[in-house]
Amino acid sequence: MKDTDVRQGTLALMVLKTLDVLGPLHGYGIARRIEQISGDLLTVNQGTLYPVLLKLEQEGSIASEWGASENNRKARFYRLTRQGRKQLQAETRSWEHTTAIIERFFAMKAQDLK
Amino acid sequence: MKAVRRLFRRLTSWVMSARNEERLRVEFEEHIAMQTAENLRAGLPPVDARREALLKFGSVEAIKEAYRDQRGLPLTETLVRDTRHALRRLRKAPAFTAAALLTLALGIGANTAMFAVIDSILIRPLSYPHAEDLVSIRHTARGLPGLPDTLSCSPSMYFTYREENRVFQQFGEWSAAGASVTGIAEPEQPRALFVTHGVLDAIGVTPLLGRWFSEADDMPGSPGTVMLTYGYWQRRFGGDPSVIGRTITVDGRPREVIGVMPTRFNLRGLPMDLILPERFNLAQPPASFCCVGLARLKPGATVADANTDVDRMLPVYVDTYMRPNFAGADALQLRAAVRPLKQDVVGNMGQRLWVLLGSISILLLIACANVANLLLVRAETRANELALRASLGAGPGRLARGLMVESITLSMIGGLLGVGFAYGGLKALLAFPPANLPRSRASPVSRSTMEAITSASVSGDTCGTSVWTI
Repeated sequence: MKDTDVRQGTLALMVLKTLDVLGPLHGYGIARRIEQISGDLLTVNQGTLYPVLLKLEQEGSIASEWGASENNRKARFYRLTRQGRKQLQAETRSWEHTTAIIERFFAMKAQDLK
Repeated sequence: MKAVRRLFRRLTSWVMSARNEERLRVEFEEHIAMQTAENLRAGLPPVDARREALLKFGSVEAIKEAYRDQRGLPLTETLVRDTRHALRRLRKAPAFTAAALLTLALGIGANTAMFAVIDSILIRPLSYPHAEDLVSIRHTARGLPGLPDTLSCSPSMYFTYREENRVFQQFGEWSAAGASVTGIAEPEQPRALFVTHGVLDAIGVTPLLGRWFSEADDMPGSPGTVMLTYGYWQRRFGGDPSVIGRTITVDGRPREVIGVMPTRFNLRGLPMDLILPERFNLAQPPASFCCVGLARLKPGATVADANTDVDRMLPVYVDTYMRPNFAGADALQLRAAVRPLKQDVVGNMGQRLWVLLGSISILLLIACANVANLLLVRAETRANELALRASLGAGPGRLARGLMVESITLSMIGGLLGVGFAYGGLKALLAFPPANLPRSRASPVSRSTMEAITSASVSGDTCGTSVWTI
């Protein structure tokens, strides 16, 4: 998968999951974690993360406030809201549902259908 | 709910855009700084570390643009920006702007004025209650080629039709003439309208003061009566309500003022001051087609019904009144030609007005084509600018929108000027009304007319010009 192929919706889901697991993070942290988790298979054009963060914040799934980063710099920290957690659960379910269907199709062999 | 929340956020963040911009800048800077630090730790030389961080982040401007698109109300913002830009560009080319605006203003103005005239004359109904039920009773006489196609009524027809008809609620005849009034201040010659009983009732405009004529007022030998029009009442009596019951001398006969008609009462736009009862002498009705027959149809009756009915009554009339006095009565071949009162009022002006509107519409099309050409020439000279903007990342949609906004701005201003033009033109037209323009005194510019025609012409024009520009 090339990085440009990461669609906004997928990226948003990754952001939510990252925040869910790791707690409040700044933008750079989120980008790094996504890269790490995907084993650098997914190198996001890091800047594209910010429009996604904004959208999630506008929708109320995440909230943000200024804080100090690990090396004491001013950074904006994002955290999951209650609504965001609910959204994550819903989207996880729907994602699992979709992948289950797709998996079945991929596992399909000609004799299964006879 | 989500959408509403987002819209609200967008609105608020649009208002606080400066603060957001600052936040974004800081956030980006921090991000790049952290990445740079990371790269340094990984052993890259400082210059490369920052460069790599920037590369990894991606195009800051593009992201900012995407961010802004999410944040505020991008459509409104760019629209405002485009409009401002368009106005600036129009100001910088005064010759072009003046030419285009003048063309548009003339085209739209002429159409607006024309439509306002047509609206007031043809489209809006006569200002009587249920004017659609009013008909004018006319006849044709094929046997006598010299006579007009629309022969009116004779006094004796009044008696026949009044007694025999089956489709009229009210029927009466009227004619206009001069009269002389003496006994108040100076003697004068006001214009009088003579009506039989039935005319005012048929028209249905109730008097402002007093009462209509009754049947008794038509009877020879009854006391003389007169009604005043609003204008005359104001002019001669200063609008004094105690005028009812006063006696004025008209044509040497004392007449009691029994009523005043409201200002909106008029008949075919005729100038009139007094309304007098017509007293036909049944014993010796004059054998002329002196008077205009006017009737209100019974509910549900049509003009065709009225024609059938009048055709049925005509032999009765000829037998009773005409043949005894006039040997050639049958040779006249009298036939009914009842028509709606509105047609009577408007006459054959209708067709001419529509043709005129048609040709003026073509004028507007030509104006649009001219402006489109002007814009096209201008677009040619802008090729460089557009190419530059395209290479800086403006999409074709964005460029087209800019041009479109310019065309729309132009035609909006043109439309406004056009309405101004039309207003002035109509004022002039009403000040010097053409003698043969019916109802011209009753054609104030209706606001709805203006709005309708303006939006129509502006949008039509915009489409034309925009298509050309793209």
